[in-house]
Amino acid sequence: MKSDNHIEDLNDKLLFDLIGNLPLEKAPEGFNAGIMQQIYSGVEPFEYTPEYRRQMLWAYIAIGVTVLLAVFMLFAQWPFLKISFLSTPEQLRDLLNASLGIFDGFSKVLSFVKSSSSVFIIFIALTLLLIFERLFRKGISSDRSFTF
Amino acid sequence: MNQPDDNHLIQQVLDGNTGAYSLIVDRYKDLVYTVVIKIIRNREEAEEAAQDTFLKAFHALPSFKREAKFTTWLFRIAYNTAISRTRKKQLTTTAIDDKMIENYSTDEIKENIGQLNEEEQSRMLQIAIKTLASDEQLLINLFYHNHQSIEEIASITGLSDTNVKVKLHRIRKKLYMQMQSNMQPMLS
Repeated sequence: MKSDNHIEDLNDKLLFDLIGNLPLEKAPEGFNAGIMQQIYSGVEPFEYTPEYRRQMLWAYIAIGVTVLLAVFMLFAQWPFLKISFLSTPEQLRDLLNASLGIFDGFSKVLSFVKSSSSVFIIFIALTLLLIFERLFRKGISSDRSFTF
Repeated sequence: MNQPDDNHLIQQVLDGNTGAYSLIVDRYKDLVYTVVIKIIRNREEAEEAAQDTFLKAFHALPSFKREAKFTTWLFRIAYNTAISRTRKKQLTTTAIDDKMIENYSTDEIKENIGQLNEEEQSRMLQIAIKTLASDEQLLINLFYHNHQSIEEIASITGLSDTNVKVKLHRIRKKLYMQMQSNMQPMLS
C-alpha cells in the first residue's frame, strides 16, 4: 500500500518537466571514433544462428554415438551379445606386429634425434619463432597471442 | 528521414556490418556518459568507463535478448562498469532523517517553484541535484530524465522494485526540501 502511494508521488509532472529539460552530460569529442577504432582492431561479435546451433548439436550427437559404439565394441562381453572383434589369434598377431612396427619406427627416429644436434636446433628455432610471432602480433594489435 | 530502430541496427551489426554500431554509439553516448559520470564523478575516468561500456556491449551483443529494451541492457552494463571502477559493491543509502522526510509536504514548495520563471526553476533544481549523493542523482536521472520504469531501474541497479520506489520517494522529497532551502533568500 505504501509503495502504491510512493509511485503516485513519483509521477510528478513538475519534476518530469524540469529534469527532462536539463541538459545531458556531453560525451567528449572523438568518443565515437575511439570506440570504433578499438572495435575494428578486435574481434567482431558472432551470432550463433539456430542453424549453426542445430548443426553443432548433430555434430556432438554424432561424436557421442561414435564414442559409445567404440566403447561398446571394445568392452561388451555380455553372454547374450557376442561381438567377434579381433578375437582370432591371426588378427591379434597382425595388430601386434603393426603396433610394434610403429613403436619401432618412433624409437628409431628418437634415437636419431638424440644422437644429433637436431633437438637443440628445433628448440632454438621454435623459441625464435614464438618470440618473432609475439613481437609481430604486438605490432598489429593489442590482442594477446594464442601461444602465450 | 526515419532513423533505423535499435533492433534493426543490432541485427545489422550481428550480420557483419560493424559500421552500424557507430550509429548506436552516437545515439546513446551522452546517455551512457551521463549515467557513468553520476557514479564516477571524474571526467577522464567516466570517459574510459563509457567507452568500456560500449565495447563490452558490442562483444556481448549476440547474447542480448530482445525481450528487454536495449537501453535498459546498455545502462545495466554502464552501471556495473562504473560501479566496478569505483569498487563500490552496491548503491549506498545516504543517511537522511526519515521522520523529517516523511512529514514533509511538497505542495507548498511546488507552489513557490511555480512562481519562478523557467530559467530560475532550472537553476534551483540543478543546485538541489548537486547536493544529492551520486547514487541518488543516478536514480532520479534514470527515472525523470531517461523515463526508465521502476522495473527497468531495478534491473539496471540490481535493487528490488520496492527499494527503488522507496528510494525515489525519499530522493524526490529531499530534492524539494533542498530547493525550498535554496529559495528562502528569494522568498523573504
